[in-house]
Amino acid sequence: MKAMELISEAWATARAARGFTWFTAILVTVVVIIIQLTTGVVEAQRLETVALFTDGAYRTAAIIDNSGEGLLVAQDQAMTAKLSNVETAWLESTDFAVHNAAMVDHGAGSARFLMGDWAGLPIDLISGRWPTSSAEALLPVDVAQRLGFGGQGGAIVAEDGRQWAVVGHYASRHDRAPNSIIIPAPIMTPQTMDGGLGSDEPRWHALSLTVRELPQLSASLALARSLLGPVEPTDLAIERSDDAAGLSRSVQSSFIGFAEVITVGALVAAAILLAIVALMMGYARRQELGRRRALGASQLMIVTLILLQETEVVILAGLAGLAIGAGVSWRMSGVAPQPLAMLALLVAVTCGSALAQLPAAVAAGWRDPVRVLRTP
Amino acid sequence: MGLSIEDLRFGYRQGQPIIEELTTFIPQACVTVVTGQSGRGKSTLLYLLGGLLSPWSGRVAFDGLNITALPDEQRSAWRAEHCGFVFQDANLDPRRSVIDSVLEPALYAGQRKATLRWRAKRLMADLGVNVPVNSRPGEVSGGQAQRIALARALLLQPSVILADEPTGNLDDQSAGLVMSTLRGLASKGAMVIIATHDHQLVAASQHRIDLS
Repeated sequence: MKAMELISEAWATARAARGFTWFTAILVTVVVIIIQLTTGVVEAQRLETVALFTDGAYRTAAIIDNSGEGLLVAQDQAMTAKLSNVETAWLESTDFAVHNAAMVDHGAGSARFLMGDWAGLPIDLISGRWPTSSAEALLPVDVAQRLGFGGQGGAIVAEDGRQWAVVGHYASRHDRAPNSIIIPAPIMTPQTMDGGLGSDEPRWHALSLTVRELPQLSASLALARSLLGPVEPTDLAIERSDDAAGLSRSVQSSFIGFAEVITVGALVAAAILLAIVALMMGYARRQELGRRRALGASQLMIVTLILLQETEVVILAGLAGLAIGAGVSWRMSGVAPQPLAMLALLVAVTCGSALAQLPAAVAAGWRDPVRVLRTP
Repeated sequence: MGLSIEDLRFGYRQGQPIIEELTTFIPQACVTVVTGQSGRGKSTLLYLLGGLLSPWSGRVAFDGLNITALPDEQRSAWRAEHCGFVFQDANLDPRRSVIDSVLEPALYAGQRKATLRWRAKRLMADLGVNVPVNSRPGEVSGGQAQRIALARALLLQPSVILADEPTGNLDDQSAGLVMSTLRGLASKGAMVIIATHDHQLVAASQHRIDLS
């Protein structure tokens, strides 16, 4: 039998078997739409989760000096910032109390010296400018309001009388970003650059670092920790969202698992229905198939014809389902359909339906044509 | 040249043979009738000769080719190429046009339908089927449906025509046309084998297998 003639005959038969063909087509279309919508929604949620876990707060951790003995020095920041996976690193000193130089009674705040690439810090300048010397300070917006800094200018003063000009206000991007009054660290002397604690160097309390991607955080922290040299395990503490990476993986795998369950469930349900429909169709068409056998069709030819007929319908219905599903999914979740995933779904549906209908097709092909022809 | 049947034995139920130890030869270029009471295996013999059934024992050979020993694929190919079946009821597909029905055997014989379309139309015209070729079987009379079925059986000019009560449901005029066509085919060299109760057909046949 010529392939094109067979395909043409299968299509003509599919058109003739209207009820079964429409049922199969609608079933396949609905299943493909359900799978498309489910995977679309899940993919959108997965992307949202990925975005959430790539937030700076999860990618940032701090190494805290618990000893109070000055284990952290200026060069630790420089070395950590040079690590390949580190986006930015900064040192913060211990807090010290300050207040508005002009309004002594207007409340107190806490300030820190900060060393790092200011432009790379996870903060946004809201007004004013970045400090350019250790005589200037930058205030968080809420602290500025609390201390009575309504507009630009003003100064803050420490209890020991040191004073800094307020040059701008900032907002933190996340919980692990700087959130107190920050002052550029004084320029280090050669003595302090050797790792000692010169009179100009603040006492550093925390070394914070932000990595480029969440999975790199643990390794980068370990590396940064090793750069500090041998210290007692209890002298340093790590502050981070410890389970962020695991939680991210867990949530993502939950989403993917959910999509897989829905997809496999829909495919299995559809396969069972298709298998039943194919059995019913094979029985309803037994006279026709018996006649075909009498006219020269082999058993294999009957099986091929039935499978081809169904496959043609499934492919067309699958394409329709993909088009509708992709459109609706895109409208609902804003996730653009992936051509490869759509192709994979079409192949899976086509192969699945062929497998589901194979037993019925074989049963029809091997049915005794004479019994059928003799039984109207 | 013909169909040789040797020690053919067959039944539908274990231990209850319908055809027992049948040995005969069916020559070409003649009309052979298979007679016998109902249930004696007339139709069954046709299906055995056409390779649709496998006998319990014995063999059917066409020009020396043992059909019963062939695997299904080859037996089907042989049937498509050499056999034309005419059923008691026309057995046309009610959902397809009559021309599609006539052209159906071409599919199984591996021939292009398009090249046989003219022959299908001519056969229908020769057999007096004067309905539009796109008609459905439900739109034609019983006599015309049987003639369409005959046209289908003759499409590929088979050398063996197996007809199961071909005139059983027809009026005299239609029956006469079908029979004259079958006789004409036999005279041109075809082997026409008819299972029938019809005494007129039996009287007009040249060869008879009685299963009584």
